[in-house]
Amino acid sequence: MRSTFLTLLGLLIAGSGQLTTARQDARSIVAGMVTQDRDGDATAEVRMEVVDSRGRSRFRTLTLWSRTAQEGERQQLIRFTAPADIRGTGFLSLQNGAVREAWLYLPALKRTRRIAGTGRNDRFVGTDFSFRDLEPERVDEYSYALVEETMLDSSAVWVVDARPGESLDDPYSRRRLWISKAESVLLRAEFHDQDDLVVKSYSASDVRQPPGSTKWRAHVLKMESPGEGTRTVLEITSYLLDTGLDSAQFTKRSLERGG
Amino acid sequence: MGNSITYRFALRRPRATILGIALITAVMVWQASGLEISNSVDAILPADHPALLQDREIKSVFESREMILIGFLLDEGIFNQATLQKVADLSGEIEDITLMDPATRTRLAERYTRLPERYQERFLSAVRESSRARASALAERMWREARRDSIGADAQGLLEELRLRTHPVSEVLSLSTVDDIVATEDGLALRRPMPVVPVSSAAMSRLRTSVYQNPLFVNGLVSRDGTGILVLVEMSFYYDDHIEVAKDLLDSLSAIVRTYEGPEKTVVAGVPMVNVFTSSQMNADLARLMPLAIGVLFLVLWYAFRSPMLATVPLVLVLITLAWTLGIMALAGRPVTLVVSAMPIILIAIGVADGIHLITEYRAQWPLAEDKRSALTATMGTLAGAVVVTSLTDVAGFGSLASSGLASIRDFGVFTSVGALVALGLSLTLVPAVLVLLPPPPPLREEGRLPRVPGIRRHRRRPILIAAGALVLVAGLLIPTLKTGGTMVGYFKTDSEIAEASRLINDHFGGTEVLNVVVDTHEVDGLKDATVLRGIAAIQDSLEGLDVVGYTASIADYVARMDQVLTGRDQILGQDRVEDESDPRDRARIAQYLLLYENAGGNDTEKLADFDYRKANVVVQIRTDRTPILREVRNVASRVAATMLGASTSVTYAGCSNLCIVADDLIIPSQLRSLGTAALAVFLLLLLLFRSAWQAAAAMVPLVITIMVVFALMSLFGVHLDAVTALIASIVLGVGIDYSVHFISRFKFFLREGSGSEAAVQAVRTTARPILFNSLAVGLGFSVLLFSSFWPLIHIGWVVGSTMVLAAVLTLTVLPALLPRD
Repeated sequence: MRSTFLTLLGLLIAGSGQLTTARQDARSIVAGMVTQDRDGDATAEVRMEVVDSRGRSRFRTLTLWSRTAQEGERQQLIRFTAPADIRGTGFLSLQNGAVREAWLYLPALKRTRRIAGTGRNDRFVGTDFSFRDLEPERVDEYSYALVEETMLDSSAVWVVDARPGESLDDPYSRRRLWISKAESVLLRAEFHDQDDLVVKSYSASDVRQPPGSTKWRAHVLKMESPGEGTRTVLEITSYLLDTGLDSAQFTKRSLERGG
Repeated sequence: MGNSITYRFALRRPRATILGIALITAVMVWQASGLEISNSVDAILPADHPALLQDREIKSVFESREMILIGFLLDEGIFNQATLQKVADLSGEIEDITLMDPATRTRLAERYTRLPERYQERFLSAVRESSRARASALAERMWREARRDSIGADAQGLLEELRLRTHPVSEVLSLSTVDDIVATEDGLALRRPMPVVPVSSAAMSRLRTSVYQNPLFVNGLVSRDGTGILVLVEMSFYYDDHIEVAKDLLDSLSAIVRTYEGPEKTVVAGVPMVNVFTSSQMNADLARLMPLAIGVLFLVLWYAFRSPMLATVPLVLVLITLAWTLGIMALAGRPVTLVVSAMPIILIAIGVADGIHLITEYRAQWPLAEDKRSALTATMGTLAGAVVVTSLTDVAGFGSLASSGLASIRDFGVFTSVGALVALGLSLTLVPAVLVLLPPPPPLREEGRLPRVPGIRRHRRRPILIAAGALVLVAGLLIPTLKTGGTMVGYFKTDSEIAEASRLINDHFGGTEVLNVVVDTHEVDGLKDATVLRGIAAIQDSLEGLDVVGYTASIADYVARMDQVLTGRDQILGQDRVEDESDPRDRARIAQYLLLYENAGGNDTEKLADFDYRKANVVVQIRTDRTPILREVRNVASRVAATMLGASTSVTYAGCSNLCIVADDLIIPSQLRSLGTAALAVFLLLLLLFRSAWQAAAAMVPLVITIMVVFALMSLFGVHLDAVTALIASIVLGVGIDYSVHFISRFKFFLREGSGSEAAVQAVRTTARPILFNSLAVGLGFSVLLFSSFWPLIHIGWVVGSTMVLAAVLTLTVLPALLPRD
């Protein structure tokens, strides 16, 4: 009932030429989510399951350190912890605006190699997630529109459409976001291609506050690619926020240290 | 007698009989129009054969399907801007190919009511959608959804067709689409060898160098000498599951490729192409050979009966027999294969023989009878028994093929037997019904003289038996050199389009035939063991040492390539390995390389290793499809695997090449078994008919000698025994035994009046003409196969054509010599 009323209200507002109000609303909703989402740094133990189109699973565990220095500047270090034969394999990714640099450390060779030509849209370590999917939303680069307010499972959510600006290399023509009102956490997202078909869909669950933090985090993240029939589940078994990681911990030397 | 009821009814109610037969014929023609033509090896093997099931399973594990090979050939070299631009353009065009012409859209749209209502609207909008990507995405989604809902086979099939037609090609492999693992100044990258076509000569030579540095490309995508370049197209489905869509795809591909022709020569080859070409040639063959056979026989019959109208009667019988037999095949859901395509000609030969006997006898009876009906009643009374028996021997001869291990031979046997029975039924109903309505026949005069065959007038027993013995001896010496082994491309004449395309591809690249050597370690991550990868590499090395193997690829190649790129050396598999013992660090190294490759977005290894690295698929390309050579390749792989891979690792085979070998292995034992069964069945029939074991055995002798000569001739002229030529012996037995039946029937008739030697001479005197005439007619009927496009059918044509006459001569010489004198 409430959502119907709001839709009607929205139509009335739109009809009276005050469309901008709704758009700003959507934008502030997303901005709220970004603020909530932003952390100085995070350390996560991740259990990763990649399922292929025939339903077969591959399990890996890894530790993920990430740090956002400022908007658009993101540092990530991944170290695999299991299975044994890849333990210590590390992956360092430094994103600065549109420029990404990536290095790989193979303990078997005790050597770091730069990986050329990786972009934000590439798959994150062979999963259904892309690097972009795991970054915080960049509010300035998108235009947002509130679609409706509704319930998703037992949470009240805003449903917002995000469309990339002209110059963006975003592969999706539109993303539909379901943002929880209570925690400002992204609970669900659908990624539409140029033909407006859903190519990936994201869902998050087990939303709680990591120990010692007031921020809300989903601890189970799932990404499905319906076209390819594959999916990835990232289960965060330990989550620490804002422990004071600094950029010295995101260097080639630190990449090699853990091996 | 049942048969007397049938012809008596037919004579009393000829119009009703004809009308009834015409109605059934109409239904059968309508049925036969739905016949499917299939030519892959899969159709030759029975659907439940373990090798076929295993092949399917392996293909699904590695998601590998038949490849279509498109080659650009240019003697001056393909590393020039224009040719490479064509490769890039063609790759793009094929990736976006769709098989939705307006007629197909209309046809699919008309069927939307077969779907549950919630799909109908989406289905129609997908059918009408002009963007391929969007139509494909919609179709894919509906198909997945429907599969979850289990909406029924018919509806699912419709969605599947839409899905395939909007996305018929799953992958295009060429220099502009595949990934190359390359070293950069301080690292590694996965990039296309040719993201853009080089313009400057410096860029061109860089491309050339980088391509030839990756062993996976040489012979795989470019020819070693640089005069050829390939675009590989993988269909998004298995050829046999959707033959019609496959045909449309190949037609469409060929049309696109033609637009790129010149100055480069373009060729399209590969197993699906061969299958489709075989089907279209088979259709063309039937369209050409059937009228020819009927025309030839019409002339022979006209000459024999002195009446064009009478000559048409056996031909009508033959045509109706064909319609019914093909209709029954369609009802049974069996496809027409190359083997089965020989059936119409054989049915023509069988059907005409009955007609000849009946009409000849009718003409003899007519002057003695008061009206047509009593002449025909007398004719049928005399001959119905013989017609039944000769038809039953046909059924025994061909029916025995039903025990064959090869599905297409089994179908051939079963449906030729069915055809023989249909012809029998029509001979007892349609022929008398038509004859009673036609004007009376020209009476039979004392036509012609006895042909001068030695031994017909006076019987010299000893020289005949010595000559026969010599023939058996010579044939017996030649038979062991008979070669077996089928081929598909080799079936075509060398100047045919597909034979030339295959030859050019085989000359320039790795080869059109694929053998999959599947190495199963039976444990998760088993492939990360360096000794397993070394074993795989050793198998590849030995295979590449063979002249016929042009290319191999495996997961070991990728690991070696990564090793080379990352360390600059070939430490795990190659010559840079320090010692013989396995380095414990190798396993981690391999695992980390593979992880790196996955993480870098590489997916070319998906077809070479399964998801959890238990099984490896070694792709071996071979430049011929001759099965004995394929078998040798497989044997080499087995030998190396046995010594280089541990006992816990097993090796199996898949791919077209393997199926060819398996089919081939079935031919000889199954052929011997079928022949044995046929001989036994025919012997029992003769025993029943003659009530004399000696006579029944003697009746077999001319046939046994003829069959030995058949194999000797094949051996002498290098005709390989394969799924198609394996039929010759059965055809000769089934058709040739009729001569013995006629001869011994006559012999027994005369034996009531005199001694054995007297009866033999009389039997020769009276049967020589019809038997020789019959064999000549059958021989001529088969000789139209000489005009076929397929070598095996040509072989059937000349071997059967010539040996039928031999069988007739042997029946008239050796058989009397074996019968008792008193």
